Amino acid sequence: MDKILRINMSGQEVPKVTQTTLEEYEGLGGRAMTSTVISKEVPPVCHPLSADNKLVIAPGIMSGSAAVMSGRLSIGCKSPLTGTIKEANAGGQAALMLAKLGYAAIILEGKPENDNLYKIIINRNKVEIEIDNSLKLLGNYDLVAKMNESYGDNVCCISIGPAGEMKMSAASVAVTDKEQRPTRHAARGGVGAVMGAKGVKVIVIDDDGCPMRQPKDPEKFKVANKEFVAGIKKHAVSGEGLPAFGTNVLTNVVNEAGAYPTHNFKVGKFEGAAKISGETQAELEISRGGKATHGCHTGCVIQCSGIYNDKDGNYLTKQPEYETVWAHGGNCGIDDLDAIAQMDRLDDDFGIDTIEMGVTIGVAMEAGLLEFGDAKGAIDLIKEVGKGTPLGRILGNGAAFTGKAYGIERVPVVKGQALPAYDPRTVQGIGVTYATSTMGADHTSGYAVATNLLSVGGKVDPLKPEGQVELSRNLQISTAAIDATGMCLFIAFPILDQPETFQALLDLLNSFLGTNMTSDDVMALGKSILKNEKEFNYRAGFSSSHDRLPGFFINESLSPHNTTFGVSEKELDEVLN
Amino acid sequence: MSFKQVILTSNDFVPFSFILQEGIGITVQSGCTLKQLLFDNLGITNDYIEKRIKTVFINQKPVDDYETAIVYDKDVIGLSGAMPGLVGATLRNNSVLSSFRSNISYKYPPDRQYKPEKTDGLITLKIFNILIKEMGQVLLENGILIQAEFLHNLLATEHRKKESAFKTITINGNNLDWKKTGNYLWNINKTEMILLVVKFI
Repeated sequence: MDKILRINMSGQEVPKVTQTTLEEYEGLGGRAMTSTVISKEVPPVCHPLSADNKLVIAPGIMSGSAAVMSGRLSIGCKSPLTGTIKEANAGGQAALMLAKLGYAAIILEGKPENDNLYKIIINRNKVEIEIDNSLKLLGNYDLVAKMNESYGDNVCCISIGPAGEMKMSAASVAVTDKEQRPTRHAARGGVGAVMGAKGVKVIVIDDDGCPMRQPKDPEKFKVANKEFVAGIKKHAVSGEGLPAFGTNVLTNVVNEAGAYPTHNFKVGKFEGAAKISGETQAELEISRGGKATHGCHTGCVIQCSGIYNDKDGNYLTKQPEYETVWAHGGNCGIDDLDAIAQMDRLDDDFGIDTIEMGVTIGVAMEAGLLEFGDAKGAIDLIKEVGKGTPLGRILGNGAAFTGKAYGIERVPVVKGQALPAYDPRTVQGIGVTYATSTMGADHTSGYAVATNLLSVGGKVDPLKPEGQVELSRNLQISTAAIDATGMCLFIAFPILDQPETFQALLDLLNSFLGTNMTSDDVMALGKSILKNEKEFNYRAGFSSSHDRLPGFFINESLSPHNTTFGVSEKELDEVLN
Repeated sequence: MSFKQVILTSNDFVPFSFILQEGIGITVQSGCTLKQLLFDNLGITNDYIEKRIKTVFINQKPVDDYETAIVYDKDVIGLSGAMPGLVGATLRNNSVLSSFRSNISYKYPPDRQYKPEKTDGLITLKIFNILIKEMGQVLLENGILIQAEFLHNLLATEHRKKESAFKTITINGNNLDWKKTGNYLWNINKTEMILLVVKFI
């Protein structure tokens, strides 16, 4: 990856395409690339939908190689949902293909002065940009089918649905999977709205004729890759639980812990949990001829995804993930897997973040628009978003916006972004991360990466509550570093528990890049990413006073443990100081 | 404690997954340790406890020390393998991240006074994820307690399928057509506990 593709969409004329060398961005990938470019090139106080904002699309530093699990694509910008810096990432085939084509980043700049909708076609010979207004308001599924008719079945599409075109703050960017389905989404923070503001409906990528990226030390790389695969496969989470049940395996356990937010975060247990659990979902998928084990991109050996068929055995959607099943299910009092799968399909087609949409519907239920448990009503609300009705435009701008529109106080957001599927009153440490993340409430910004192995800031006593601040900080640093590699975060479990697998990952990185990175260097990379993001947010007007959970998490106790969020503001201010 | 006994023959394990997630009844010596429950009562080996059971809840509280945690009558015990996600890792026993959930962790001594004299008790046992198949079959073969209403629902669900996994049913020693047992179960108290023994064929 030795070049950056810049496409300036401004002006009445044809967008301007420039190809540059990496220069100051040499050696960066994934979130390190997106956050560095945004922090250097985007005015922090700009309007997120203005010409000044940029959309940066970057594969990880390992993407396009034979390294397993290296298929994550980062998409960054100033977020229209939060107003902060944003990086959202997705699986699918795009990171692999872009990296093979040699692009370390595609940067969409400027803004068209007309209402035309553009498609961008990238292959090894050329970059073409065409006006194609026939694509207006197409859902992602129909859009991809149309691209396949024109460009064949071996391309990959990065696209937006109607929500992105309407510049809704909950809009996602879709990435196609191995089966040419738009099921993988860089979903959080409204990155799709920024792509919509640039007037770009779809980027079609064709890597035909491009070889895999080659490691600097092929022999060492081969050995490390083999060891890394063995480590992933022998671990109970990445080798058994995730392949068998997907991420939704968490429903039963989080519910049993009393940490499963139900009825818009009113209680911590859901009576219908077993009906929508990963175990039940996997059995249903298999019984209908779908799949409970499936990879979202080439080179995935964990295979945590699946295929969800309807009652007649026809494809409906990919296996809904834990966060989706929770957001549209337990959070809204809905225990019907078919209804949840239908909502997942609509979200993917319209291009909406499933977490933001589910939490928004929960807020709408709290406002009295419909009853908790009303599955049909919830489906109808998502259709309003797809149609762009006045109600749909309120909902499509997220939970905070909807809460304001209906005068609701109990809105579970941080910096305007909806909380994911773990109640911070029960698992307080994740509340520290929700509050202090540079991205707004985000369960993946402080993942269970091997902080014990990295040992940054000294060893933490896990049994002492005061360890939460230090742990959250270390997790956010190490997660930022993983996000730069293009590696799927689910490698976290084998590298958390198995030192030899952590070493294999380091060997993989070093043999591929020709470097001698240590764990200290990995953490230094993570720190520099967070520093850039934090500085951007500061210049955008954010301070420690924004690193807070909504008041009801502090004032309302949550059953069954009857706990409130008890980490002090002083402690929160120490996390990323 | 004595219970009506139902013996079911089945050629598939899958229909029982749901009841294992929802919770089954197990008789215990109230006041025993969690380790005694797993090792002595359920017959789980130390090796399996150490390597496969990574998260245990007593009444929603994640447990770190199985030797000191006490199980009482009417407790709800949840068993899980290793889980993904930050919270999944946080809930594991002795997790390096356990400070994240220190406010809900099981603490010894338990809230209720420890009673050294052991009495008969009945607990609800929930089994999740990879443990369902690994532990469930033996538990079902040895016999579990299940409310009449839940057993009725299990039979009714299977009855609706084109091809049922259930082949024969014996209630208190009498062989019955299993598709006609719903009414019998409905006629007894819905909350009465039934001893269900499954023979896999």
